[in-house]
Amino acid sequence: MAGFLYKKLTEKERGEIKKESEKIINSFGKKLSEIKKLPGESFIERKNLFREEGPGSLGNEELKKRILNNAPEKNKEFIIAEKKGWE
Amino acid sequence: MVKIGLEIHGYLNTIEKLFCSCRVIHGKKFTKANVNICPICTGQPGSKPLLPNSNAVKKAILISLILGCRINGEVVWQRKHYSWPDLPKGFQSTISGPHATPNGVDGKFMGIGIRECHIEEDPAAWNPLTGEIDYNRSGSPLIEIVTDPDFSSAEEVVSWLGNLFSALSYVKAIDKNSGLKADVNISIPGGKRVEIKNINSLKKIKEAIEIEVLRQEKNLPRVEETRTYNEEKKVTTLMRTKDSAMDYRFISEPDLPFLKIPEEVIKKMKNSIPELPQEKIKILIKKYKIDKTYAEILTKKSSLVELFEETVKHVKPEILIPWITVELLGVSNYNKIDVDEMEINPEHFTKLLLAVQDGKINELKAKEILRKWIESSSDPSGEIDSGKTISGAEIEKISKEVLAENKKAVEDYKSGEKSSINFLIGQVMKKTNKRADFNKTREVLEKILGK
Amino acid sequence: MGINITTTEKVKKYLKEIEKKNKELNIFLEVRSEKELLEEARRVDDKIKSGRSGRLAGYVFGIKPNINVVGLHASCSSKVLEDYLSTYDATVIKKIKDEDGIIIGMVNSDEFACGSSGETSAFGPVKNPINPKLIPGGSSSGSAASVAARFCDVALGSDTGGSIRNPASHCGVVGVKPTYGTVSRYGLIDLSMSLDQIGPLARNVADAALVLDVIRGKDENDSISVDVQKLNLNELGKKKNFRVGVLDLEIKDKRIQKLIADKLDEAGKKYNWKIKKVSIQNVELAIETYYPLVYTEFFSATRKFDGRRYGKKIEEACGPEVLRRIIGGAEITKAEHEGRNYHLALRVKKLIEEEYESAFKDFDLIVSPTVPRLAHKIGEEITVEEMYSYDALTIPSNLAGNCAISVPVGFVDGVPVGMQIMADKFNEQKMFEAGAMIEKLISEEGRG
Repeated sequence: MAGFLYKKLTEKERGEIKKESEKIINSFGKKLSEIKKLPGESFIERKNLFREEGPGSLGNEELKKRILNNAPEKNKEFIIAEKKGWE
Repeated sequence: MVKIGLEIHGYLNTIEKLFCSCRVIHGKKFTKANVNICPICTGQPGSKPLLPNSNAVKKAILISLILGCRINGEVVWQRKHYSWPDLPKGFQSTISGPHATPNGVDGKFMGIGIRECHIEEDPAAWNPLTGEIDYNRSGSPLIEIVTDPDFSSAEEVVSWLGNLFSALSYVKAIDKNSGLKADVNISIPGGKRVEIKNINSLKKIKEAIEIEVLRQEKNLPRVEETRTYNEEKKVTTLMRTKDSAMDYRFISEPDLPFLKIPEEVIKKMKNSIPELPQEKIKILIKKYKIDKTYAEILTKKSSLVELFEETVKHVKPEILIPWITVELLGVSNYNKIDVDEMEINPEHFTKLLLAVQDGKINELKAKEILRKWIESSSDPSGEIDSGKTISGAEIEKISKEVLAENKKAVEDYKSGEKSSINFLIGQVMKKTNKRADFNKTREVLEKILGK
Repeated sequence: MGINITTTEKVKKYLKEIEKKNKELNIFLEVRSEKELLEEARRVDDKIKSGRSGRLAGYVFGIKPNINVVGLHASCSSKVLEDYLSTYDATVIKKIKDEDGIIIGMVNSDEFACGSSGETSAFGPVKNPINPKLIPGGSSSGSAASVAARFCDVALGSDTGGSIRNPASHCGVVGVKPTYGTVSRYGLIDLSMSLDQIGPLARNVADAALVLDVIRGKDENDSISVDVQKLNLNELGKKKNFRVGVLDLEIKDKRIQKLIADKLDEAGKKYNWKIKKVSIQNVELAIETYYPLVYTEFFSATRKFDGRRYGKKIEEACGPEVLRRIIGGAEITKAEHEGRNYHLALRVKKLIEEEYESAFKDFDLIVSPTVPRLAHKIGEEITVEEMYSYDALTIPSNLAGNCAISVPVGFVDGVPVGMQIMADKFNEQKMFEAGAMIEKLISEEGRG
């Protein structure tokens, strides 16, 4: 890998990245599996686990406008994704 | 023997969504698109889930208990990844998958085995024809119920689903107005299992099953398939085969703490399960000796049963039944409101009916009072006192006045038009502000006129 | 904040500096309009005059572009989100605004925070203000550089494996990774959910501590976040006795190791610290534990970038390191592998967390260099392993969930070098006190 500067990737480079990625995973996994005694998985424990409901909120027009603004395809009310007709 | 299993999705009856505090839409009420939204349920970059809606989790446990499941106290949220226009985060938050511990497992309901029961969030609504995405529903809490393949006919499925929905909406755990979505798994002997996805009415489920069974008999499935039901053409069409099955790449949700449902909560829920309609009908008949028809009417709504059971402690069932099934329901139907939305305080209702039972006021007066309780009941004591049925002597006095003031009607009666007595009774009612007992008035008038 | 200069004058000064040098250093990706900024600055000055100002009045912030600020682009330094305008404020941003801090703009960073050098940005690398031929470190490259270049007072970055401390060390500024869960991540675009924390960078310890005190705290919008106590900022600079463990780990560049050891020795003598070697059994597996976690969680976090709601489909528009992590995560989570490597890494993470918890029973602080080698030249050929190894000393703190600060302690070959001071979870007070004492030592030496 010649440096880490950003560049657009060719298909060949994507293939190399895939290979490299797998190599890293396998070598790291191997090292970790050599550890003899392991505890259970790290996970999150907290005291409060639930949220009590309130009256519930409605979105605001401003937020809707901002969200639509970012959509690649949209109309006045909706984000538009691909269209599909089932036979 | 045909083997049929179901995966049912129902909307839990909550105010807020599962992981955000947006309001949930109930039923098909018309709302503008993309109103009940926030950064969380629209999958904005950087947004994170709130702690899960406590009401939703409780209802999911309640449903699991009703379905006879064993409850899992520890639950870990999962990310189920796939790419679809209706999925705002690129994954669905659920309690399912290979590492999951569903809310309830190994149950049985009305003869059908329940494999598991779990809570998950609804994706958005994507219209495949226009491509438009509406996030109003996105993030709403759903219950998914998976049955064993214990069904053997379409009729059996439809009847069972009817009972299931009646039971779950009776305890107000699911939102009946939001409808159901079901995936149906069908296999016939020797053939592989076929899944028909996303059928959203009982009618379509019945049709789809019948059509698919016929199709399988003609063309035995050699691989597992996922199909969709086309209602117009009345066929099922292939979506994908098992080979190209989705790899959801489940991982536990790092943004939410481990869910531990305290034993006391589960116990409390177990104790709070009301009797379901089928059970309730049997009890009402046995305990109060009422007719099956009336029992069925009462158990249509838990509010009616509750009102009945409270009031019947003081009022005779024979008096109470028609007042609920005819009069009260009559008021709600006339005003086109759901009887659940009339807040009837059992104490008020009891006072009113005791007054009728004891003859303190007459039925007309009582009905007049009841009609005022469209939104909520009020203490009728005042109106009972002022509307007290008046004595026989008082009726006689008023009747004589009425007869004196309505000579023509008297003449008509005496010349054979017996029906004109109704007019005269009506006049007495008017004068006494409906406090005269109807039958007594008729008696008194007939006696006087008979002379 | 030393009020020799009004906020308005300060903002003008910073804007001038940015105008002069940003083209070369490539630190800011987006600067707000002068008109808007000066209006805001005047409002803050009015508030200061009338004595009704917030705790951050007078402070000017640079923000890493993976943090949402309404009206600005949360581009994550990527072509994927280059046009994405934030639709809501991150919680930390709300807190800054509530306390009258001014946000001057969005700084550059490694793409999607995937990097340790500052080179992977789709908009060109950030140059180290101390020596523009060198990398500034990463992934909060612009955050550290903006503070070092005096383009702003303080900056926010994010730290997953050292992404605040690493560039702080290379640029000669202070950088803090808070205890996991103490700063809300609501509005932070994820790299690795179990490890990410937002933190401050500043030119001195006191400023970093103030900013952290303001932005941290339980937030209902981040379900993992926890409550904290207020910091006692008046205690910074006072002499305290500490039991300090020096991490027993050989690093590549012995000169760095010596510098840290020498400075620690001096501090020990001056402040009467008890200094002893401490070894953490599995600390050398930090990198092997870290990357499977990051690959997996980053893969999951980026599924939303499918080009339907905002931006472009990430796999089609991202750079090599981002792609490497996505592919790695896809590989690990494949059904046939059952996420084995991810689960294994979660267990080793717990192991390392326990090892540090145990070590902190005997020590108040654990000290080491922040990075094991000097900053390389921008664009220099470097293997993935070598790049990953930059984080060998910072990753353990993310895995353990505790807090750590990088304080500048000098130079080797003209390149800034930072000392990392780590404290147990929720012990930011001790960490800042020690950091302030080191800072005092260094500044007194500088004067002497």
